[in-house]
Amino acid sequence: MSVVRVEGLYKAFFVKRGSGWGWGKDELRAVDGVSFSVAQGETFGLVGESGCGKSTVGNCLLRLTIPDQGRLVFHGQDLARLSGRALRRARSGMAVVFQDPQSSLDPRMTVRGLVAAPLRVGRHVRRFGTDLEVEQRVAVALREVGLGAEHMSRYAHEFSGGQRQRIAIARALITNPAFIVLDEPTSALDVSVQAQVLNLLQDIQKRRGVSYLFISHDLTVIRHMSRRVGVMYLGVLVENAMADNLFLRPLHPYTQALLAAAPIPDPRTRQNLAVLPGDPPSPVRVPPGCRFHPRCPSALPVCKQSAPPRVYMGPEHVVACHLYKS
Amino acid sequence: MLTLRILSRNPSAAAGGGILAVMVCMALLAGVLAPYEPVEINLSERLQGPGADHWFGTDEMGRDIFSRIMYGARISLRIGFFVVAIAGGLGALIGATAGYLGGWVDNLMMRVMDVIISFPSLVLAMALAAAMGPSLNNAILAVAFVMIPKFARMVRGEALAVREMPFVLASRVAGAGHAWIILRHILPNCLNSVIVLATLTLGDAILIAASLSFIGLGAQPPMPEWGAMISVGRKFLMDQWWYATFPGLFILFTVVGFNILGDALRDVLDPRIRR
Repeated sequence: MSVVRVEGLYKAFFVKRGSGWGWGKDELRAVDGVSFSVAQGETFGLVGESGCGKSTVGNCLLRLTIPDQGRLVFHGQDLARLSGRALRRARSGMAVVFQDPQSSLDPRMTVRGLVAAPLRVGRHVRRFGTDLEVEQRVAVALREVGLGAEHMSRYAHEFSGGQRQRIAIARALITNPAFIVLDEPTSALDVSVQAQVLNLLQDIQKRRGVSYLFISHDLTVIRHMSRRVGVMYLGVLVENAMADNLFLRPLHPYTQALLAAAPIPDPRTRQNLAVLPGDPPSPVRVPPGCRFHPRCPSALPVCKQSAPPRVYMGPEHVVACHLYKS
Repeated sequence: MLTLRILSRNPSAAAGGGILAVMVCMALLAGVLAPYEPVEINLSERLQGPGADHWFGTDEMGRDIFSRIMYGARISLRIGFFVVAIAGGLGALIGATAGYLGGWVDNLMMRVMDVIISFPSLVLAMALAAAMGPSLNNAILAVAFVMIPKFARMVRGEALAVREMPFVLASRVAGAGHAWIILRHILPNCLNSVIVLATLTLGDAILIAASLSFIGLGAQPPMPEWGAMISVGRKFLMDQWWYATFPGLFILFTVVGFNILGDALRDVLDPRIRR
């Protein structure tokens, strides 16, 4: 039973052309036909290089960005078609944790105000009880993330990075969301703190059965967290599989290259890191056919002409590549 | 509190704050400290020079100018306070709304602000005060009106930056409406700059209000308003220099005091130029 289903998501931005006096605008296809679904209680990891559109997918799901095409089904409602009050009500079942806990917490609010904010916002959303009840819920949420009620009157800048991210997680939890977008939630943290926050997120998932969309560029983190993983390259989902499958038997050449480029944390192994030639092309000028073909070590002539279809290689393993036939 | 400690170590802030503290004490304690009643007429002692009895001399009705200046501080500070409260409040609200919402709301609001700001502020305040009729309250409203765009433009600029912050996005995801975000996120995060601009504007406001009183559009006699006192004293300037000079000096001190304090506040509160 999927909590969130994304079908054919498409989002383009328009950027000013070049640096000269050009009037024209270029179409930057940030997300081009991405589909996946997230089941209840599972973590779907979205991995890719920076600029591949993984955050745009998250922002579209949260409707911080309005998608151009596609369906975003959450609890049976298409978020892409909702607006105003209906959107707010539907979105109240979602929450988000951003990368930088410093800027995602208003410096002018106390922890109490920050964590309680989702309960108090606006007249459109149902108000949650009296001040005392709100206070109690804040205390419960803080305890769940490992902070005490005594922290409530402090400001965000009085906390360390890891603690701030815990506050942001408490804020995300307080409305009992069914689905949380975690947009690089540990990228801004120390490695030692990263592990704590990741384990906290897993504990919360076990306890509450909440679904995560976990966006990250860090393969080890993605592997640790996710049940299923989607690999993005230049706005398309090139491979989507169960995490174990994907890491043990990557099919798409890009996934293979990505995994080969990840260093193994062992000083005794002499590593021959395979590095892809070149940089990812600008998303403004996407290569025709398969987007990966200019850098692909096993490109075929057909790759230049037509975009690869989605091929089902076994249950829940989808790859978009001409090398495979189902 | 940190702000206050840094401020007290800043010499110009201390100087500006000191001047203003004196002004505020004068205003608050005028009833106790002033040697005479501000409207007490004593025709036998008219137009006396500065001396032991009358430190700043007397005017053409024999009223003690020192006492009148002390009571005048009340009026000037009240003008400044109300002007800044009205202009700062409305201006910040307009600027935050325009900056956060953007689009045609932003365009409409900021073009209206541009129209207001395209008039010289004193001239526009004069016209407004004249249209509403000469009285101190109307002068306050007129001055406040011409000050609104300063606040609106500055707050709009800040709002443009704040609205992209992840904490605003997080609130939007949580279902916050525009009003909630503007009141809880945008305005509080613009507060520092508003305080700085308010301090700087206080001086201007007092100066413009005094100018309005000078030409008879503000405080009405026998109110001991500094601008109005200069206006009358101007006729006696040749022979009785003290009449117009002392109120003028006090306007000068007050305005300079607010400006110095405002500059120092900006140095302290604006992290971009904090050293």
